[in-house]
Amino acid sequence: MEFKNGEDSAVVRSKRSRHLLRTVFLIILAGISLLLHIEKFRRHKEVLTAKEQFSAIGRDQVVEKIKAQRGRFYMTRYYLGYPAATSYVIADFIRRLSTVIPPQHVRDLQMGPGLQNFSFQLTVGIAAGGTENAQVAAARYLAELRKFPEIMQISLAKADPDAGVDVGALEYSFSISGQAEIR
Amino acid sequence: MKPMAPMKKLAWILGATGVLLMVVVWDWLPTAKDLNRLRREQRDEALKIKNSTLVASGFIFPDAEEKLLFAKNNVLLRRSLPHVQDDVAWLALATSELQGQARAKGIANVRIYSDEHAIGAEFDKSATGRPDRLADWLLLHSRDIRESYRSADDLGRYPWHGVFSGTEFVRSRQLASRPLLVALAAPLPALLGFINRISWGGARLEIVHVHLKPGAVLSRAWLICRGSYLASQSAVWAVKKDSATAGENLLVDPDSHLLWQKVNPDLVPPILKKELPTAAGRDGE
Repeated sequence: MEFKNGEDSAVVRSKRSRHLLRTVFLIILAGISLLLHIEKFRRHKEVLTAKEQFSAIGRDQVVEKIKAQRGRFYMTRYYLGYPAATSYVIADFIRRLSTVIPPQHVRDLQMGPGLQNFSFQLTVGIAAGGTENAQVAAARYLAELRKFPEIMQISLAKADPDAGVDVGALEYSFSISGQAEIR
Repeated sequence: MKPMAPMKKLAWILGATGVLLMVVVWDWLPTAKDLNRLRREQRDEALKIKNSTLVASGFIFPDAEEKLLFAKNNVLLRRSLPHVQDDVAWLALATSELQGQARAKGIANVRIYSDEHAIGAEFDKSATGRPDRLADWLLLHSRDIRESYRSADDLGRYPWHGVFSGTEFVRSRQLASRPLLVALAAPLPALLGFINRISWGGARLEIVHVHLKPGAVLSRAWLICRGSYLASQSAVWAVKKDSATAGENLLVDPDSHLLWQKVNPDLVPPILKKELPTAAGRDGE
């Protein structure tokens, strides 16, 4: 009976120690998580404070007013030069385009100037003997246009059938569109 | 103490590892990632503060020379706008200037339209029995023309709000902006010369859209232009100072370091009016 009691208490002790081990293990996990989250919270607060500090620098009213005056100075200078710059850039673009693509091949050209860039869409039709020659010409025109320093983006596509372009059946037609800088 | 059965021990180890893995994957790793991100943000912010403090300590307040530049700029801005009585007077000014430019380039076939609703009807009217290729072409494009005109006529999309927002105009003059449709047929060099000079007059027309159809002898083009002006009487095309802007707007980054220093006029040099280069490749004057 004593022996049995001793065995029982050993089992109980073993169970208790396993229970304790499990609890300690879970406490350690929770502790590490807690420390990580506390650190995260602390850093987040520090970042917010730094952001507030940054936005506070130079937000003085007088400084802001002067900055606005300076900003308006640059905008006004741009506005004053804009009409002449745009009309010249557009006319000169068409002039140079006509040296690269013979005007008789240009079916249609649309240009939409924005404040700093302009978009263009060019429809070209080549009444070549074979489609292959026309496609070679299309690639050549595209390559020539890519040399224009103001062009930022350009792409070649088949002509839009809804564009109202009057093209004959024997004509290979394609469109080149892109974006270019005004200055 | 009875030793733990090996299987039980293994199960315990596996269970503990499983729990550990779950906590690592679901909590520790995301938190560690966040910590790294926050550390980076903190470092960036510290750097920004350091740079800005350096710049702020070097903020240059305007001196007499800079104040003179501001004043001159405002005078130039006011002078750049035609001062007219009303919308009709501006239209007369712009039309006479355009016709003058066309005459200077030897272009006889130039048409100017200013009423959106009459655009299609006026194309029809211009066909006077004789073949009129320009009118036919304009009729073909009347939908595009109307759309483009409407877009230029939308004062909510007026792009120069930022420029005029701080400008006071004398004697209750109103800032106004109105579109125009210009259509013409001419040999390509003359047509390009006309396009280049379109902004040179007192009306300072800005090109909003160009549509060109080159031809063997005569090329055809229609252009939507816009002009800003100061009207002394009530203007239908008045630009409201507080009107919301839906379109593109000219902006200067308020955090730009440029604004901490004295203005430098060379950063936006004045645009000189110049002729297109001639066939020989020289700029014509």
